[in-house]
Amino acid sequence: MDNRLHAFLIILLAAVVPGPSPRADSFTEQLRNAGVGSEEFLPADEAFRFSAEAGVDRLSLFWEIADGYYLYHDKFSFSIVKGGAGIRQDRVALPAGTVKHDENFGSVQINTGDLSVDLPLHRDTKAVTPVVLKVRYQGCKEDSVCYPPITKEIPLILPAGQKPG
Amino acid sequence: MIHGLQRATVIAVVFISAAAAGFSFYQHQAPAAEAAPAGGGRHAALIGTARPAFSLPDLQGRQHHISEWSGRVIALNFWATWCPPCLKEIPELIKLQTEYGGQGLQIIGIALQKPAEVVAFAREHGMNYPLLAGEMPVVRVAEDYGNDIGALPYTVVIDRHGRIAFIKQGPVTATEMKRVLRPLL
Repeated sequence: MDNRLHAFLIILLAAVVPGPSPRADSFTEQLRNAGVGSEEFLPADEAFRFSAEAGVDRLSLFWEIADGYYLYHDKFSFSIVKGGAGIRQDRVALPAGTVKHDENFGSVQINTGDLSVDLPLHRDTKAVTPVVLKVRYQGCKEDSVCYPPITKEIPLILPAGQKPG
Repeated sequence: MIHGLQRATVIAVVFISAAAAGFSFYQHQAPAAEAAPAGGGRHAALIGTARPAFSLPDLQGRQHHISEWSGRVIALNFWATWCPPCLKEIPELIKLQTEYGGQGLQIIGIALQKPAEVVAFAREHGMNYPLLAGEMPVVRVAEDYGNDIGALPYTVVIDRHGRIAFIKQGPVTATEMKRVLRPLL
């Protein structure tokens, strides 16, 4: 009888003493992850992975734009801020991209996916030339967040070559 | 004697069980005021902590310190006129300020751009809450409030005691904000 009573009491205690609360776990999970209705977003340099290469008469720029993110077509700007060369701005051609309708800004042109842009140069000398490229661009994640304009100054070395004029 | 001990044990166990069951029920039913969205580890770490102090200029260039709104439930909304998802939520924020301002809600818009760039937009849209603005100073305040990646919109709710109660990167909806604000007001 005593044993059965003790067994009953132990089972009763085990049944009602709370274990780890599912709610607490859920809350911890919310804090650890994105939380209710929230979402993780990439840092700008991961959302828009940028790289640049220098050629004899041009700079080649590349962006890997993450899925769901885009760059504004009309927010790009490029300049050589240091070094004996300049960009032939009239010969810079950005890929057209696609048109997106925005309820505040109307139709806007955007670029998604992989993006390559060539910047034809004029050079002051055919000798090896260090330059600093300044590039500016801006983008968003679809219907979520937008990033402030991103400005980068990239040191590059133009290889020796024919002076293009 | 043994019988009496058993009785005492039974009473004690039943009492403990009832208390434990009650606690368990409370844990599962009580609203968690701080069960607010948080966008990652840094956000989670900020929930429940004291708001970082800051001063920023309004659109006329007058400096305002966050302590001006102490004692109210503050919603800091970091935004910019170049940010479409930010503009989308502004009508909802205006309505929330109208609806809950009398109960102690103070929305504060913090624009990540030059104050002069905000004036026309604010007037045109009838923004009914204080607007602060700036570039690098706003970036630093946003970072202090956990916005490591600088993306907008970014909203932080601060309770009446000056503790951060809610953080969200990305657009907020009126429903979501009401769920967060009502227990704090």
